[in-house]
Amino acid sequence: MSDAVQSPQEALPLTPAVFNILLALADGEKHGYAIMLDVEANTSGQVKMGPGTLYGSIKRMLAGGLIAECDERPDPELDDQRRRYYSLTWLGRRVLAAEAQRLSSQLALAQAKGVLLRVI
Amino acid sequence: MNPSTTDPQAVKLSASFYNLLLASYPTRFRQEYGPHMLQVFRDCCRKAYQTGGLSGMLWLWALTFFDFLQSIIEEHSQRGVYMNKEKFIRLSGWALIVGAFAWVLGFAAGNIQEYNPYNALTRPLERYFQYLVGSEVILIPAALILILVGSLGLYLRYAGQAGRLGRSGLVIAIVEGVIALVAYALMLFTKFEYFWFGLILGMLLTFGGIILFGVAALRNRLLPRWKLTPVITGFCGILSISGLSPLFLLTGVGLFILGYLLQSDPGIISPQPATG
Repeated sequence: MSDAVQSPQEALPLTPAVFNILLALADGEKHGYAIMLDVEANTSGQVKMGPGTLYGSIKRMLAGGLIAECDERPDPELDDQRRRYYSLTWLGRRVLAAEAQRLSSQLALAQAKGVLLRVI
Repeated sequence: MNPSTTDPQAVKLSASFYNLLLASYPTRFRQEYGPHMLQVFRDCCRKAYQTGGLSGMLWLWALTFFDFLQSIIEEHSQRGVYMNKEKFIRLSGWALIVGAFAWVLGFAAGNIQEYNPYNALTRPLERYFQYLVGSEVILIPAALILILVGSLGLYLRYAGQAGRLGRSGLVIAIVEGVIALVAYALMLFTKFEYFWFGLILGMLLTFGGIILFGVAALRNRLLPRWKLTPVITGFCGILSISGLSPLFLLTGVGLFILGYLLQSDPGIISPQPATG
């Protein structure tokens, strides 16, 4: 992503990595490793990101304006000051909501077509 | 106290090796994110060592190495300007087409070499024998380089839609193509004939990767027509390397078709949305 995303629809559909990173940041700012652990926990280990995928996604999300680096550093007693913390931007939150809505519509469609019954 | 000084040796070694791997990323990306990636990897190592010991570390390395290969291709392909991507995909299609010819001619030269000096039919070829030997030595590596460029083009064109299996197949094809070429160069320069195994294995796995991509292409309906081409090309490539030489012709046809598909349909390239 070379330029900032102008509207949420422009960024859709998101890849699993980007969607899960945004979801991990939905409840507050986190550093890279915390995002990785959160994604793994949220997906019951189904989405495992390595450092390359994580920071590659972070780079593109920063460029797109979906996340921002936090200026404030945590208390050095509590955490390593060298870590960078990231948080959702307003646009990022809207993109996340739009993607969740899109997935929800697809889920409703799958239910309407009886696909879910077969899966369950 | 810095926790990294108290880390077990396995964690320290792994972190050092990962630090070396980071040098392969584009400079700007490495300068910006390299230290953070190393820190995250070190954290992962500590967790893997604490929970799974050395086997946990091995599993972590398997995952990390795969992630490394995928992300390094992604970062290098995005380092250029986006307008170059479409051009590169088209060129890689042409590379596959030329590579198909080089492959067929190289194998044909190899087959003609096996002539019988007492056979009246092949005797006239005797004076051309050294040229035929020379042409095979050049044509097959040239074909490998061109197939490697074509695989990069396939990755850039289809990575987004090919799913994990397709992407993995293309990463395997690219990496094994590089390994085959390195083995070939080492064999030429060191005269150590066991590098031959590296060359053959690299070539076999290159076509194995193309088969995986072909399966994913079938599943996800990636190709507009001639949908079985990557699978057939992969199998014919493996069989022709394994000894069923006549199949090199079908391999060449398959590579030609893949090249034609790539150069005629490089995809709509625009600045990517927030994709990982």
